[in-house]
Amino acid sequence: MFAGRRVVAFVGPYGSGKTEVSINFAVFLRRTRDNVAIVDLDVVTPYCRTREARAELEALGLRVVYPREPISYTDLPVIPAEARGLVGNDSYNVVLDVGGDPAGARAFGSLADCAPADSMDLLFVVNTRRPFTGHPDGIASYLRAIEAAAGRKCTGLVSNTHLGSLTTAEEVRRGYEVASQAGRKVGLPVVFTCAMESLMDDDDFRELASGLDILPLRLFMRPPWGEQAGAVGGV
Amino acid sequence: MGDPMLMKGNEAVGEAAIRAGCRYFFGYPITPQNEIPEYMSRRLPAVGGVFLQAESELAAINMVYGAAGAGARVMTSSSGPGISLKSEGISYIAGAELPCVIVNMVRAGPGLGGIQPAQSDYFQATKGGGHGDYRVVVLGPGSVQELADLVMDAFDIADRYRNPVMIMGDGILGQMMEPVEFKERPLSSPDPKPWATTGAKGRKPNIITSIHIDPEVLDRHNWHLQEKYREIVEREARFEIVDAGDSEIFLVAYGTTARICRGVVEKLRERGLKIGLVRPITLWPFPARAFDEVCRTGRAFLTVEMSTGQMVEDVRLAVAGRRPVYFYGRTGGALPSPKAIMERVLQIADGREPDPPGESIRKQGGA
Repeated sequence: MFAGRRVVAFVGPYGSGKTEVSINFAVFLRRTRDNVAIVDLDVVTPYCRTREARAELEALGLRVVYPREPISYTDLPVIPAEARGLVGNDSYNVVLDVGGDPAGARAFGSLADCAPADSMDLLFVVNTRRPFTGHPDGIASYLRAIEAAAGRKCTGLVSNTHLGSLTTAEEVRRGYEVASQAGRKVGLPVVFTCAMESLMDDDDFRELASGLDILPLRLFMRPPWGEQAGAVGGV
Repeated sequence: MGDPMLMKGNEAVGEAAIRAGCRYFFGYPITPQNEIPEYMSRRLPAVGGVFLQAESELAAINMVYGAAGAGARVMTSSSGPGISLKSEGISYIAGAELPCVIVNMVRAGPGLGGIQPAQSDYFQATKGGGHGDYRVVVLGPGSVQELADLVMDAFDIADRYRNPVMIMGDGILGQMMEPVEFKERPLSSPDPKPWATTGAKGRKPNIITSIHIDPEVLDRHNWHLQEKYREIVEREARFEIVDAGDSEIFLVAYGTTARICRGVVEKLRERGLKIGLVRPITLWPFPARAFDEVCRTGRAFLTVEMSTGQMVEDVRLAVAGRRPVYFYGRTGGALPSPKAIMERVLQIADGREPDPPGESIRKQGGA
């Protein structure tokens, strides 16, 4: 599985799944590394942010960086000072969960000078079932707009196509194909593909996903109903 | 596009409105509904429409007044504090009998409150908000799909009765993502609308106004409005009853809270409890008829809201003393947990009074 450079920042359109991807990627890194931090850099979304899973993530051994309470309950554009130190700290692997769209990506720009470019990955997360990113052209223009706001070039794409509870193995595969086409347009590889943990035992999925680098996802942002009533909504 | 999309509730509002023929959006930003104006600003120019971010909520609602008067399908959206500002305009629009759609993705109040989800604007939406004897049709969707469907219905209802229709969601519904399909449907809007100010060439001028200085005329206007509202009450009330058959205890909830309650019903049914759910879909008109139906087997009601108890007043009016009606709620963005609801249902099932809401929280001390 792709492990990336020391600092991995996930950017992308609103609702492309950056938070779940960032969290699961950080948890994956933590399996083989001691010092892994995840930074909630989301300055544009009011709910469903990494900070809402902080207790669960700390219990998994991650260092979670987010604006202090009660500021954390707002959508004020606050970037924790600690984030700069960690991005520049060679003994840490750092995952940056950046807010959506060019508006959110601008926050990344404030940290870009903390570490050399060759120690950072800027990964563009895409779900082809979301508005405006169903086609390679839409994805490519979105990616360019985010690069312009972030002040850095993306180094890869992450395919995160899903339809919530209606996701099938074919859906994941189709999403990967579209992301790859977009990747060819912009000269970037799809560095990994995400799929729900529950698909891993599915025979269709194993066949369709053979040859793909897969990050299995466990959801941390859960709605306040059902079996695992979770943290969405914040409190 | 028959393919399902994965959309935030706020985005689904925008897409549904455009597919319902809405070509004008006037708004002013506020969390947690900003994805609505963002979506409209991106999509409306592409379909020949106009998106305009006004200088204030007051300006926005009066632009809605103007566009509606000219016969356009028009929408605005906001959250609690912004709806308060728009309330004067909503009263004018209701008085002038103009169709429009207003979306409130409710956040926690009062005052500036917070940006977390709430249902504490129920009074504001269903009992007035602005001045005068007027009513707004209020729809309370419970999923992203239903939100999309009801936005489309809202434009039809607004045109049918020449009255504002409000979609009342909450921050969670606006922010959460679910698969959604947009159903193809015929445009029901009469075009041009015979009463609209479209240029009085070859006909007498149409006048759009809410001012009637002759007391007799204003009195007649008010009773005309009441007759229209009576018709809406008769024809438009909608609700869903879950497990109507044999249930003895009914939860009553709408929107996001109904989603939480549905899970509680499933869980307690597994444990053999005869429990059901009444989910009002129209908040005004309040679906009082649902309670005649469930009072046949139901012996107690527990209303659950993200407020200190607003819809529960309408539930009590509908139940009319036939059965006890209890209340549980959280506010400020804190959500009623499945566990807390379940505990209270079990107390009621035991023949006891459920723990009062807020008491243990109040005892923890002030903010």
